[in-house]
Amino acid sequence: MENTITFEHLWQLFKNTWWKILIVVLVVVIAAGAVTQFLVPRKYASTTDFFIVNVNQTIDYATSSTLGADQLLAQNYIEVIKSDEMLSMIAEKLKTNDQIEMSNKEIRSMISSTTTNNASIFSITVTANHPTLAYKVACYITELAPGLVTEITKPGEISATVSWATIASTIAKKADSNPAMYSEVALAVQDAADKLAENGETLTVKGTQNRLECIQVLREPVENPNHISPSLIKVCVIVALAAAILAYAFFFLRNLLSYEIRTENDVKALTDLPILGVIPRWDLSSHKASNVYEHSYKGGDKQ
Amino acid sequence: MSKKDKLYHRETTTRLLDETSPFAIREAFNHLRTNLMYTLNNEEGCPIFAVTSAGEASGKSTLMANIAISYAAASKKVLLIDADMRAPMQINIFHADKSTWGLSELLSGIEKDEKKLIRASEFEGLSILYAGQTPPNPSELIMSNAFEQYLKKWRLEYDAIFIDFPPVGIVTDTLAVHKLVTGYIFVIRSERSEKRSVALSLDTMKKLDAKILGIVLNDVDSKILGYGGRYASSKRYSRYSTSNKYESSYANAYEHAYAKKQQEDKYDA
Repeated sequence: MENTITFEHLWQLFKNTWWKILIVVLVVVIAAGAVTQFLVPRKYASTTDFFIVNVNQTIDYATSSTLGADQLLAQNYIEVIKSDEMLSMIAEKLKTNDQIEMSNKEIRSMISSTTTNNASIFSITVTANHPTLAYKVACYITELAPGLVTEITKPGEISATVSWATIASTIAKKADSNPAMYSEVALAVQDAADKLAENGETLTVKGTQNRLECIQVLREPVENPNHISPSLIKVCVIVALAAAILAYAFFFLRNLLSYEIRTENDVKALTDLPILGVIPRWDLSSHKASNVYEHSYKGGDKQ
Repeated sequence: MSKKDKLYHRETTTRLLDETSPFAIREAFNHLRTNLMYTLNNEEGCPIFAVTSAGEASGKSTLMANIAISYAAASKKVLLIDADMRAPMQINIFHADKSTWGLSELLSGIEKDEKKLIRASEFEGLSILYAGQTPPNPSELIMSNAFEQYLKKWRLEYDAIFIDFPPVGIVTDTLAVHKLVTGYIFVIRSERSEKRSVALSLDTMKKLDAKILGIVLNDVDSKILGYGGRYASSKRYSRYSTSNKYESSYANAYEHAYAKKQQEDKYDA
């Protein structure tokens, strides 16, 4: 009985300690909320999106390889935006226009990026302790990035080796959404791919991309007065859950490791039987007993 | 008095309820008495309460004596039987002569007149049948037909019978007669009773279908007992501890309500 921990035991323990857990959770949540609200510095963000431009693209259909190439380009462009050259230009702008002195390292720590799957778009988010600063840096990035990226990357001819099987599978995937358009083509390509595959042949696709400008601003940054972190609700929910779990674990372990019964709660955790009474310890030093009823005897109270 | 002596004094001094007992203690026993009355569920006749525990040193004998005193104080005719013939304690608690005959002599037939063995106590309404001299076969005596017959007889003569049994975790006498008693009061001593032994004892009792009326948590430190501790140290209430005037006003109110309900039920029947 004692050695086996059943759900009943756990539930019994919870029934006896839920109010303590609730108090712990409330106290911790209030403390965490206060710290979050008043002590943790707020972060503001401003985001801008860039579109990767392909002009005169010789491959006139979107394949996984072309999308993969754009993803690769996006990574390159993001690195260019985070380069020291770009950051120096932003720092210079901040110093000149806004009288704010910031190092390249500080500006780099403010910039984060995300790329979008299956789209030729990437986003740059600037996070700062003040919404205007975040907005200003994002604005300078949108202003400076297209020119710098085009200058650095120097677009020219690109080539890619694509197997027939890749083309066939790409078309087959497309056929799922547009079966009328793609299914026949997919079958034909698959057939050709199978024949070529028997000879171990692959197709090399070459194309020329003459870009006028590598990236264009898709979304201009805006000044957002609402902070993005810390999120009070998120912090409170996470802290409440963690506090509840830890508090229960504490009571569970304390109950598990406790060898003797001390309180009513220990009894309740052990059995569902009613507690008829709780008799306090009789402190005889405060008991001015009559001579008639107080008796001492040798041998001790064995029972 | 040295610290060691004080400890020894505390451990070896019997504590019986009287008008000088602390208010919190008296209230605790009044509360226990009231709860015991409610466990009867309007059962008619004299209830037989048996007390037991998981092991030694739970304070069950002293507790049983005090419950009996508390019952007797409520104008009940009470019989307290010490059925722990191996380690009789009531004889010490009530400071009787250790050679006093009792239950063992009665059940073994050495003394057939129970009236000679049942002693009136210093407490009005409370009679005591001590355990007597330790016999070689206490289990057989407890399980004998004679014990059952005497209990049937005493049920007609008393308002309540309290039997002090040995710890259920040590000997089996206690459970052998579970069909003869109204129910068991299981005593747990705070900071001394082990969870494992208590759980095992309760499990054993449940398996044998012994009716456990409930648990009494005994000897709880006032510091971890919010209610009792607060009231025990309250100046407002402590003055009542030397006066009978205010004794157990709340408990008495419950008991009056209970008695009234019983009367109404009887009338309805």
